[in-house]
Amino acid sequence: MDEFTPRIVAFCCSNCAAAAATIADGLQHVLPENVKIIQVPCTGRIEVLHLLKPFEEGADGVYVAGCQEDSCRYTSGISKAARRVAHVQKILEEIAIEPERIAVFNVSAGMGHAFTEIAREMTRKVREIGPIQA
Amino acid sequence: MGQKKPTGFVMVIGAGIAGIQTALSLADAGYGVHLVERSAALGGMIPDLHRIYPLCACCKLDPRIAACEQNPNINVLLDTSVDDISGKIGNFRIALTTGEEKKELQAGAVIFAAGIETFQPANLDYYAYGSASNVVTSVEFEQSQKPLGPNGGMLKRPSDGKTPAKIAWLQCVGSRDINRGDASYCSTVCCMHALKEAVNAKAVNADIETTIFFIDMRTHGKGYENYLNTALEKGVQLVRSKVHTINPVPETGDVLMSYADEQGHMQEAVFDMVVLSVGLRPSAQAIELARKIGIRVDADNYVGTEPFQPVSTSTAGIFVCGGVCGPHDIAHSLTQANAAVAQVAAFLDPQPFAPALNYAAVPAEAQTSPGILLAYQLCPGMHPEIGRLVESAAADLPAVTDVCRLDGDIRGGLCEKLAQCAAGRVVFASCTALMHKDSVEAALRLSGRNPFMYETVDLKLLGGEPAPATLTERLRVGVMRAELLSPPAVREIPVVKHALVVGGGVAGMESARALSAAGCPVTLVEKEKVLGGHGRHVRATWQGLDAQAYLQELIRSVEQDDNITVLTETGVKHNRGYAGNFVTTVENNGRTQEIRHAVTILACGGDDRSVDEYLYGQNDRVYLWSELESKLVSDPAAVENAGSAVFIQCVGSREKDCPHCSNLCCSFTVRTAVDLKTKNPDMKIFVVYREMRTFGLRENIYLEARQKGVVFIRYEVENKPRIAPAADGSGLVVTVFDPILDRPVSLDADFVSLQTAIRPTHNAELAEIFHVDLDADGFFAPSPEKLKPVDTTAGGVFMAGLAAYPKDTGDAIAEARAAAGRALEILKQDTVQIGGQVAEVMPEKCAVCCTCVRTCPFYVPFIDHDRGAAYIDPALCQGCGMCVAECPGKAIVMPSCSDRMLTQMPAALLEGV
Amino acid sequence: MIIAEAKPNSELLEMVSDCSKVLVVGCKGCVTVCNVGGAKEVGVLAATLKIARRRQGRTIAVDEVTLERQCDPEYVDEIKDRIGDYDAVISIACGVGPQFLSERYPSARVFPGVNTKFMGGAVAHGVWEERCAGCGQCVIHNFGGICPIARCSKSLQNGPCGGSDHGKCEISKDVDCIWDVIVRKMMSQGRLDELLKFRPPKSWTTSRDGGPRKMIREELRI
Repeated sequence: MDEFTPRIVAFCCSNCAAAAATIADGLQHVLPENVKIIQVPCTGRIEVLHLLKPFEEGADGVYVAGCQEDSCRYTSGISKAARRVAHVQKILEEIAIEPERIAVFNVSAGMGHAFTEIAREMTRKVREIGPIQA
Repeated sequence: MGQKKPTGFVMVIGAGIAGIQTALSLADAGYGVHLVERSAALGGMIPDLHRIYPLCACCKLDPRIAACEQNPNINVLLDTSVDDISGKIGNFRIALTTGEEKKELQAGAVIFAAGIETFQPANLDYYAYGSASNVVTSVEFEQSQKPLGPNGGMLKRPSDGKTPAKIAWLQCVGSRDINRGDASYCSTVCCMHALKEAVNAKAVNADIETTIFFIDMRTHGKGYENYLNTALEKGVQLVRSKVHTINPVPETGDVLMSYADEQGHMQEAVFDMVVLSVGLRPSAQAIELARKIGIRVDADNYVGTEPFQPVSTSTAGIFVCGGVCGPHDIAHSLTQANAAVAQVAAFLDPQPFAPALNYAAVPAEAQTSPGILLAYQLCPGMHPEIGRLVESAAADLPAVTDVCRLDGDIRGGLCEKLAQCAAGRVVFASCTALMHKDSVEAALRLSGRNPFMYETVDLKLLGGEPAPATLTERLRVGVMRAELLSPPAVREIPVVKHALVVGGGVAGMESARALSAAGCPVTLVEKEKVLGGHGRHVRATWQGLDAQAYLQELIRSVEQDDNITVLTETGVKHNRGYAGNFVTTVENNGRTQEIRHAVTILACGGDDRSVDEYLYGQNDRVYLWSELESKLVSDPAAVENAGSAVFIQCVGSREKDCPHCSNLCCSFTVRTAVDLKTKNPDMKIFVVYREMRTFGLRENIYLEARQKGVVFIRYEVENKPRIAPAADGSGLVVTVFDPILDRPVSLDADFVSLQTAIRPTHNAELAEIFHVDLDADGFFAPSPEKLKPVDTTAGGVFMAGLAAYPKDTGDAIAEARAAAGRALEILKQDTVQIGGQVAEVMPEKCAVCCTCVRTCPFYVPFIDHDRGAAYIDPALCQGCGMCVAECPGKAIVMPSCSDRMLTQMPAALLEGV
Repeated sequence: MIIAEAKPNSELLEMVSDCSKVLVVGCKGCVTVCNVGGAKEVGVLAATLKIARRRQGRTIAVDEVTLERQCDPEYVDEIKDRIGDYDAVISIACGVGPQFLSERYPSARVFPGVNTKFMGGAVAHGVWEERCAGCGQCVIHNFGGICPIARCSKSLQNGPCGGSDHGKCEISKDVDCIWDVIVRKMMSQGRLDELLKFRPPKSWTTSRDGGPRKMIREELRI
């Protein structure tokens, strides 16, 4: 059997998107194909429902990539997002799903390489956990 | 704004990138512009280039050319030469010849942007140019790299069409050469040019061996050092040598190069082809005209300027920008172009040819029309198959109602297509599509559509081979996003005719003064007690002019200017709003005040970093360069009477933790050495360096220093000089490994000056407050739209001075005035259109629960009791969407990032995995 | 307003374990404002149930509706045409909602999706505190505007008990001794002596001790 390729949805703020755009300049740092990006102005925009929807549609993992806690241009966006991710982890636990399928990452502005690294790390992690549906 | 000035048109002579930019900026600021070009097409040198660092050239120039041609306030005169200019400032008469026809036009100001030529190497017989067909110039080589060039983008050598496996570049051909190259100066651009050509050759085939023969690798510009490091990583080889002779190998067509290595040993190497990196010359015709009309021309045959008036000629009212006033790169030419706009605005009010463009009112049906126009533009470098793939992908997407291909003129092409179809939304696909957002938004506005109803799809990574699956997926997602857009409300708000300048150094004060001269009131905020910033440490410009006298005069004029409010000991706390209407909170000793302004110029400065090597801080004979300069200002005799001195370059600079080149340190050192030698010819001066980066006309003082007996010794970063107190306690001894002597040498020094890296001082903090990005080196990042060197990543926020990148006083002044010039393009408007990314309350759903009031990070929402609902001022909303997420009743919406979008996207995205 | 909290999803999942089609009903009243039973939470619960079932390899159809209020029959009536389509209904309104639903629709299986906690208010975003016990006979004016019945652990009306410790109640360091608060407030207003005034014992007949309560206002009746 082929190695399992997890389907992952990433929510990222415009700051991270800018980082992603800069990496597009260097071909060797392309985002893996299995990670799909939804861009939001700030991770504070993301609601619990938005984080659950990808799972409902069959995603194996979800993550939020936003600014460093102390450098969110909207001051508290990423900390809000982190709380919502924690809440979704609790929901997943209550319904017997591995809470590690959702995570939050902090990316510094202009860190394109970190951005792709996160995508790979999440892919690795979710691949270890396995498909959400047996 | 301000007192009455004469009004008038402006004449721009030369339509290269500098002239085009000047014309566009002037037209945006309301002037009628005559743009005169002696050739048959706009564009100058750039159409000959394949790529401009770091992107390709085509899509940067074409939209600008189209904009010039379409702007009713730009009168383009092709095939036209200027015969004479008479009259004076405010009222020039310009005699022109178009073909056979003679005519005369009037203008209040003239901008001389008549451009450059490249050096013709034919008379350098030792380089075999003209006799060996596989020896080409860098311009010819780049043309052959162009996908639309004679070889269709394939690398072929001229003699037999063979793909070259080994290519050599020779630097400084016709530069830094007073014998037969007849130019003593450095042409500034050729090092980056050669690196770019080598990297691009490697991009075609990584196995091609690329070797650059050079004297000093001059990558002193913003981001350039990083480009050099990337090129080295990609395997581009550098050989430090001035090549002696090139001989063709008749049987093979190959080229044999003989050169001396750094130790003076003769070497030979064979290459498939050789590229001569030819230097720059000012346009001969332009210089002839300059002489005719009595503009001062300098010893190097460029139009003469002086550092404190970097874009002024010797004739009032005639300004200069671009390669005709010195060997400048594109970024600097554009900076000068924008600076020239500010100079014009200082004495001339705009007289337009035609009223400003009026945007059609947006009819409701066009606003909400679900139809999608998929417009795409292909770069010449892209595989022709991509166009067909886009068309067939579009056919499979039912939401796409119309498809069109755009060539060059994005705005015009889109307008034309939108006039014919009913689509209310646009998906724009191209290489680096984001760069064209202004054109797309303008086309939507002009066509009576909502300017925010568009999405972009980047085709960049598809440049080489078409990847149908990736392409289709990107288009599908882009179209889906466009389908999910909701039209945001668009409002016209008046422009606040006021500017904020952050930082009271040279750049900040020059920006403020330029804005004030153009009639705009300015608030200048400075953290320290006094104005002057880093400029207080600067003794002289690289040309040797007194920087302190200039600074005192600048401070005096700023302080006495009724139009400039100076707030010292004042910090910036908070900023919100849009270009045209910002509100910034500043604090002075615990007292805060709010300033409303249309534009912000960030000129918050930089400083030379301190280091803990070379005995700095332990021995009082070791200075940081700013300290040495201060001493030269306050107590020059102490320095001038020294018997010996050592200057160490690149201290804590161009190393892993601080990789950028600080640009001006080499010129500082050379200037200081020349002046010390002039005062005290017996003083022994050694400069210990890694690369001498006395770029442009600065090369002349490097030559002068060597002629005066200053000794230059190169070192490798792996083998840094060592410093120790002299055994007799009288001074210091610097030991450095001399690569030419191939042994260490010990240098006595009464004092040592450490040229450490210049780094920004307040950028991180201000970037957060003003919502702009920083680059990898911590300087303000340039606009992603490219070729806007003083624009930050946020609209209406500009940068100048050391905070943007290290630069000397003259360049900082040019940049400050350029930032003012760009700012004036906004300040001269009466209203701005806002909308797009803001949150909006639907009153019927609002439960007035106060959640938004409590959770907005910027305290924007409040409960409007008359409406019985919360209210969010769209001019103040920062568009983070936090209240939208928090509102328990779902009463707050954000059309640009709606719930519909966020809940439907996952399903659609996962469909593609 | 009435403050409630979501039941654990595991409990809800168990409740609907034999159902294949469920309607989640929200309420735009109190529970919307306290972020537990509005349209947003209806969406979250629906998604959660679907994800959980997907994980189990089963499917479930979940529909969503949010009524203006579940404590008025007219609004409850709005789902009359569709209620028969579902194996179960989960109401995430306060305890009133599921009862109004099950009374109006006798054949429907109605589950409560939230635990109704108390009558209170938001002291900060995300933090609610109890303020009223609904005793039917308000006496807070005697206690500096502070209710000892709702806010004293023992509902004492005659001063703090021996469990008052440096302003905190003995049940938890996080709970203020409300009598400490009352006494300080009265002192600050210079009315401490009012607390010494003799008052007859409180009648609890207006509270739950009098049995289930009902109120009729003749002037309003149709």
